[in-house]
Amino acid sequence: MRFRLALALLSGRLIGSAARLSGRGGGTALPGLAANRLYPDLLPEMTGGIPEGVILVSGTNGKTTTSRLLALMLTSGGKRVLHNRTGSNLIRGIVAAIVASSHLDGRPVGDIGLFETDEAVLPVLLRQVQPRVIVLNNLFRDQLDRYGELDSLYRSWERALTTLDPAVHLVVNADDPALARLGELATGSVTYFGLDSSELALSELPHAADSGACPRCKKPLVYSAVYVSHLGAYHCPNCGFSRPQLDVRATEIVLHGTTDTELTLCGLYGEHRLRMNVPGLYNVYNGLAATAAAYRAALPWDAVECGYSGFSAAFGRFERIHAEGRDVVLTLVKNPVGCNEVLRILSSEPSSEPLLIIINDQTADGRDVSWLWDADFELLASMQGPIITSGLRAADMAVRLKYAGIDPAQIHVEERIRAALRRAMEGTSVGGTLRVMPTYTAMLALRAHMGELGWVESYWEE
Amino acid sequence: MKLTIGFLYGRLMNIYGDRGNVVTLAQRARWRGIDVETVTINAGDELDPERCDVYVFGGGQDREQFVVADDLAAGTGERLTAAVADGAVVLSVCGGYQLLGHYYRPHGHDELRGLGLIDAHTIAGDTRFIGNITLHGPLGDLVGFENHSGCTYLGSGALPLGTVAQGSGNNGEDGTEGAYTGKVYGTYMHGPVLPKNPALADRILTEALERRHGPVTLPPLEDTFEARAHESARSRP
Repeated sequence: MRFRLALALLSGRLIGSAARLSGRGGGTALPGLAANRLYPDLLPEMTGGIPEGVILVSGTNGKTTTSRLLALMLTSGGKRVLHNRTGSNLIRGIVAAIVASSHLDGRPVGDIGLFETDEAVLPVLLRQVQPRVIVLNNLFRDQLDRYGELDSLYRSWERALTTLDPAVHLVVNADDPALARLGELATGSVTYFGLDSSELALSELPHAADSGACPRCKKPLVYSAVYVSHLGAYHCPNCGFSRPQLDVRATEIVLHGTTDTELTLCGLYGEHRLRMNVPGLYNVYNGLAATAAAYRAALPWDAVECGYSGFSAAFGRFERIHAEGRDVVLTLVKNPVGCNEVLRILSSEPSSEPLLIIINDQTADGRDVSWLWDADFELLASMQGPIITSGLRAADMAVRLKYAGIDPAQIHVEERIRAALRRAMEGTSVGGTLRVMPTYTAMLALRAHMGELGWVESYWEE
Repeated sequence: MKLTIGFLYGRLMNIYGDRGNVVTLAQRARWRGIDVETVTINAGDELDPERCDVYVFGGGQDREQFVVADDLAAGTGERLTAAVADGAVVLSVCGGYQLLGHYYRPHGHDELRGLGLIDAHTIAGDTRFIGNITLHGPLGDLVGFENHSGCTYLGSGALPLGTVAQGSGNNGEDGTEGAYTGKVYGTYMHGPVLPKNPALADRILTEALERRHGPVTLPPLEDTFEARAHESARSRP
């Protein structure tokens, strides 16, 4: 059987190289598909052979950022990390990452596995892989047409997580009531993280918030602080369910526009004042998740600190690109919660430079663009500069902005992405910053075009 | 002139951006110089049948729908029925639409009694209908995005909003989509439905204003973006 495994690994690797050479893209999924077909037990066998076990990171938002930060911490701690770094987070992407870094005799090259896992895939993966730690970031509404309703996703998580081996440790966002409930039901031990910074809290649940119902008794929850969507400090007056005691928390958070964030980290590692080189409150959650997972992987504090200081924005997450004497800030938008955080950050920095919003409705974006109406584009109403809308659903975006109270004379519809980028760049002053909010496939198209212009490297070569 | 919009169960029944229907009615009224007030009526609140001219009732997941069905049965349903009898307009979408029919029979749960404001009933199906939808009908061509597994069947007292040209509609069998009985509208179309179908939005607005102001003729608005969004939705697979 070893021969068959070697064959699977070899063919996976050959397909990966061929895909890269032929320029068909990053070759991130196809090799995994092929290797898994040839050797269906590849995943359980090979992950079982990783000496320090496997960490899974799942949730609607923040998987990529959390995994990348955690990977940096682990690397800083001297560990070789086997990581699906490109964000290809379905089973085949995870298999491909393993295939790409293994000896042909089946020994993985790496001390510890770190796999960002699509939220719908997590229950499936858990049937094949026994992780050491699972990080649960959050559950928001995302691309409902792809996953069915949030409730059924939650139920499949509940089934998977309540039947785990008690040795599996959970790292759970305590500010998400549904996840805190899963932590309560879990068989293994749980580390909870959350925010403790009420000066940054919203006054009420935003429109995009998914629920306000107690996950235990279904009666309305009462929030003493709301941070992002339904994430916050809450309790249920009916059954007494409340946010669990935080093992690690962020306090005294200071947000600096589109650039960085300061915070004090308390718990697990003592108390430390930190700077994260990424903006936005949701990244504080990602930092806490990575910190708690690092602690459970027995990393020392200096490795964690080193990870924080070396961290910069991931692909398309407030990524800054220099081109033609201007800065282009790229921020992926994929669902109302993430979009609201981006809008919150953008509206905190007054600017009269253009904003380019590119909305596609391909499968990877979510076919349904209704979510544009759950996001608070009203936050842009005070914006002075032009807004260019582009992509397959450019007109839907223009309508949304008009009804959000933005002067239609400020709104320009240009479906073609190249022409829209050209127009937006011409409208941006030299030395100024163009802000771009693309959906997923729009970002891929935009990156490809920027690659042709020589502004960026192709993403799989990073 | 003043318009009061009631956002029915705005906290529980608000997935897929249906809040956009409230925003659309409000803005299209404001752009014509009409004062607008929006009130959200949540579970446990007392609905005043006199207060609102139009109600927007969105969709929710099954769990939320059970809570809402209980609240309707506890008196809100009766008050909403009284408001409709007095001339209020209702736009219901997806889960809301199902609860305005005679009943909704979900999977693994007792039948939920509806208000019977629309002559229709709904049975949970095994197929989920997901995708862009286009229809032709007496209220013009309409576009939206459907995402439901409930199958709704119309009685003789309800007219469909239209005939499906692309998509599945009420039940995937008879080619109808949505329903209206008098001034009570139901549809499976998200998108949300009103921004990309401004003629339907204005029809509802006109009927809502007529509750207090008699016959109303709304001046036309500049709808270039809306028309373009309607066309792009229609062109998507």
